Order: sequence, then structure tokens, then C-alpha cells
Amino acid sequence: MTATPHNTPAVSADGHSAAAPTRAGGWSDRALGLVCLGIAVWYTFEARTFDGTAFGSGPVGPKTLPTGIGILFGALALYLIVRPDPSPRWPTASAGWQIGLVVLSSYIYGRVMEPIGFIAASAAMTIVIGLLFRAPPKALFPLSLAFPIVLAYVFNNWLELQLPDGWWGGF
Amino acid sequence: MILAFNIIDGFQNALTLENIALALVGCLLGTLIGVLPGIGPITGVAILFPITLTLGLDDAATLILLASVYYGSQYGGSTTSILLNVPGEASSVVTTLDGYQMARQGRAGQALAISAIGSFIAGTGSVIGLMLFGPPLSEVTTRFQSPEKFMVVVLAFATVSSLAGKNIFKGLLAVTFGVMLATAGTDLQSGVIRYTFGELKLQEGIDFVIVAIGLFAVSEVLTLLEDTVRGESVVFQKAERIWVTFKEFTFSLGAIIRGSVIGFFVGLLPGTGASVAGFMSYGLEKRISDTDETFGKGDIRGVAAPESANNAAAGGSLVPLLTLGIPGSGTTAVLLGILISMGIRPGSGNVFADSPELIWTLIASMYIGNLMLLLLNFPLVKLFVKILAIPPWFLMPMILVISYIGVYSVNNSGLDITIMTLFGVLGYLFRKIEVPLAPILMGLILGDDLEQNFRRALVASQGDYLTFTDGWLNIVLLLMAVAVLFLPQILSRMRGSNISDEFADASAEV
Repeated sequence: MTATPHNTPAVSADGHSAAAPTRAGGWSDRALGLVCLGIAVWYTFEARTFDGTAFGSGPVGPKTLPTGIGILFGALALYLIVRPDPSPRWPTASAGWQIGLVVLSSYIYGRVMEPIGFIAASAAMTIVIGLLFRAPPKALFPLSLAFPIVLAYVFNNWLELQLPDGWWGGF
Repeated sequence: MILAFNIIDGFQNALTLENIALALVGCLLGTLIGVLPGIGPITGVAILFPITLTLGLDDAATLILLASVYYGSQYGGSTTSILLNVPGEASSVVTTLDGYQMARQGRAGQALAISAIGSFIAGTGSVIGLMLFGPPLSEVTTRFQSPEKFMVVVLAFATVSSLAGKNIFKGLLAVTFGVMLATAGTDLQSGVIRYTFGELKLQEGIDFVIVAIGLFAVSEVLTLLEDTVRGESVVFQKAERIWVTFKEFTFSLGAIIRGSVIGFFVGLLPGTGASVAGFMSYGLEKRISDTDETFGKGDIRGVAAPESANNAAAGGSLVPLLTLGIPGSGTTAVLLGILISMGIRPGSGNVFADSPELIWTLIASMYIGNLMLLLLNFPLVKLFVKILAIPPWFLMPMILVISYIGVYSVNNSGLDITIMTLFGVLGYLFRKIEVPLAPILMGLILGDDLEQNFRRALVASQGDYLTFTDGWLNIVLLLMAVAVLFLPQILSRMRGSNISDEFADASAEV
């Protein structure tokens, strides 16, 4: 993905201590600008490698528009570095790792959903997210199982969609 | 006369039992989506689209369902504005000003009622407008060659960049990023594979549904989690009975009519959404009617005007969408993506002439949907309010899991869920640093069009770039694009800086 480097942006610059709003500095925008500038350079150079003489290309080939777009993107990134907006209030460390946990479990969900099945993956996911949103465990556990089972039943039987069975088949 | 025949045909198609049922389901789901925090119309339509495909419906039925969701979410959004002081949608931000004040004074019922009535009048009026303006404007597109089609996309990009956020440069950055995403995959003209990182599944390009759900749904869950950790919460106001006296209705009628007219014409402007309309009509109504300085303190006209305007704009924005292929908001961008995937390409052809059955059925279904929403809202508001009480600890996983199903059903691929997660993180960070999200989606959906027309135009002109300023249509489009880029600055000079800030806030999430 073109955008992977965004995962580690400005938080380190002025975040983590966000008990008090930090509306000064503009390092967030500068960091965004730097990342985008990097992407722009890579994107533009990558575009130069596309074979413009391939079949079907006229005076402008598959490299022309990406080159232009890449340069424009780089110019806009430069503008952000030079004239950044004030930084936003970044999450506190504890909110930060909870957000990270949601992202991680969402990533894991995508990797394990096919092998272990929709129901198991969704139940686990519901428990993790539910707990992060302060769910009472007694109510959460039964619901986290009932809800994916109902969804799997509806989608597999009423709608023409086959969710991966995995560990529990047959719904 | 032809118009009359067309719309009668449309009603005949729309009034089948199946289509009425779909409109009803769509309106209910839409209202629910509008009411629920963490899930807006963009997410709703984006998630429902792939799921709808699994129902095996025909194109018209799919469009009826999704358009009803779009309409319903506009209604639902105002309910939370009034009762919670939390706008369900960006378009109902202004409604909180007087709506929540009314609710605190125990007049929530009147606020909800006038909002439903105003929305109905405005919605119906704007569909009439769509019928009148759509076909002739669509005619114009038949004169478009590749350079004009390219310029139309440029105009759309200019408007969305300039209106969808506080900082125009961030808007432009977002739209450019979207176009970059669109170039990933196999180039249609030369077969060259671009920006796929050697990943086989990326050769078909990045599906807009996955990007939309990631950018909007996943990032919203992350944002709400941050608020929860911070301990920010909202206070409920109750609505006992939804009603309005005839006197209050006539008192608000002027605001409703003015709001409808402004809303429709703001909606017509390519790239401007319902939230801009709500804000402009509130500003105007305040100037005209606020003689006793009651606005902001629970004036019913302060609810009637923006609620009418945002619904009228939702209808009005379908005009540039269906004629030029220019979406006015994130949601209509998703609708355009859906139309394109059905093989209907507004702007490239005259859809009113090419697919009359589909378009007129859609228009007829909007009349039906509006009426349905009016009737539904009065008895059901209390039920929807109860749904609001669903705790976030259950709602958030539910939204995520349904998002996963929606994304998974696009290609039956786990990789798509990973891509969606990535866009969720991006969406969260972009929200933080106020990079608007809707332009990204627009860039992605229209990027292919931009490039194809760019190249076709240059092939036809044998590489002469002046072809894009050839002919008065191109000049007009170019001037409009330039004007639109300076519009926010002009607006903020015309009003106080205070209002333009709020204006930018309101349009930040278009």
C-alpha cells in the first residue's frame, strides 16, 4: 500500500502527553508532509519505470498522469511542511495503546477469519472490543457468541453469501 | 408531456410489492444508521452495497434500497442532533443549535415534528426539481468530448477540496491521494501493471467499498474509543409526544420554503453537500427572521430551515450526480461508485436517455421514500431513541463485524479486511489532523475517469495540451474550478470569521 508509512506519524512529536491540549507547534502536519513527500518521490520515480511504449499507448502512456499526480502530491506535501496547521490533541498513552489493540485485533481478524471461521473470529473480536469499551463481562460473553451465530445463520441461509465455516461449520 | 409519461412509468415500476418493501426496509435501516453513533450514511451505504448484491436483486431494486437508506439517514441524523446535541450526520450539525435548546426546554417533540415535516416538504420539492433540471442538463453532457469530461472531473475535485474541510491544501492533498490509489492495478489502456507491490489481488485495483468502510467505519470506532477513554459522554433529552400545532407549522412555513430553495440550489453546485446547505440556510434565516434574537435559544425556525435545506440538498445533489457524474458528498460518491459498477456512467452519457427506466424508477421511489419517512417518523421516533440506548460496548463490535462481512463479501478475501484495517488507521489519523476523508473517496472513484479522459483527449489532439482549453465549455468549466477554489476565502470575508469557522466545521465531514 502506498500509505503504510502513515502508521507511525506525528504521535511521537507532541503526543502522549495530551492531558493538556497541545495546539502549538504544527509538528503533526510537518510529519504528515514529510511522509507524503516520501510517498510522492517514490510514486513519481516508480511511474517513470512504466513502459510507455507498450501496446495501445498514444502520445501519453501509463506513466504520464501518475507522474503529474506525484509531482502535485509532492508540492502539496511541501506546502504542509512549510505552513503547517496547529497540531491536534493526540490521545493519551492509555488511549493510544487501546486504539492500537483494536487495530491489531482487526488485523489479526483478517488473517485468521478464513482458517478458524467467521463465528470464532467474530466472537473473539467482539470480546476484545467490548472489553475496551468497558462492557460488563457477564453480559458480553453470551452476546459475543450469540451475535455472530445469528449473523452467520442469516447470511448463509437467507442471503447468498458463504462466510468461512472454520471450526464451527453448518450454520 | 414526455416527463409525465416517464414519471408514470417510473411509478408503475416502483410500486411493485417488492420495491415498496425494499423502500420500507431502506428507510428503516437508513433512519437507524442515521441515529446510531459510529455509523453514518457513507458507511451504511458502503456496507449495504456488497451485502445487497448477495440478495440477487436487479439494478433498480438495489438502487431503490440504497437511495432509501441515503434518505432515511438524513432523517435519522436530525433525531440525535435534537435529543443528544450530537449530530448523527455532518449535515445536521446546525440543527443542534436550536434543536437541542428546544429539547432542553421540553419541546423536543415539536422540534422532531417540524424537522420531519420540513424534510418531507423539502425532499419532495427537490425531487420535483430533479425531474425538471435533470433531463435538460443531462442533454448537455452529450456534447462532452474527452477534454470536457476531464475538466468536469477536475471541477468536481476542485469543489470537494475547497469545501470539504478547513484547509484547502489538505483537501487537495486528499483528493490527489485518492487519485494515486486509483492508479494502483492494471492500466486499462496499455495493460501495464502499476503500484501493486507484486500482490496479485491488487491487479484489479482497490475496491472503493473497502476504502470507504475502512476510512469511515473503522476510523469512527477508533475515534469513539478515544472519546470513551477520555470519559466524554452525552446527555439525553426525552421526547414525550411528537407533535406540532398548526400555528407553529405556519410560523415555520417560511423558513421551510426558504430552506428548501436554498438547499436545492446549493445541492446543485457540484461538490457541495447537505451540510453546507444547512449552514447557509440557517445563516440566512437568522438574518431574515431573528428580530427578537431567539435564534440559538430554541427557535423552531432554527430547526425548520436547516432541516429542510439539508434534505433539499440531498435531492439537489442528485442532479450533478446523475447528469455530470459529480458527487456532492462522500455518500453520493459511493452512490456513483455503485452506478459505475452497474455499468451506468453519468457524465459519459445521457443516463436520462440511455437508462430511462432505471432513473425514473429511482425518482419515483424517492417520492415514495419521502412519504414513507414522514409516516414512519411520527410513530417510530420513540423506538429509535430506545435504540440509541444500546451501549457502545455492544454497538462498536457489531459495527466492526458487519463491516467485515461487507468487505469480505466483495471478493471473499481476507486480504481485503487487512486493507480495510489499514484505511481505518489512516482515516483515524486523517481525522485527527483534519485531512478531509470524502475527497479521498472521490479521487479513488473518479481517478480512473480522470486518467482515461486525459489520455483520450491527448491522443485525439496528438499530444497538444491546449486541447483542455479548447472551446467555451472547457473555458467555463476551468473558470468554475478556479472560482470554486477561492470560494471559501470569499465566503469568510463576506461573513465574520466566527461563522466561517463553524461553516468549515460543518462541512469538514461532508
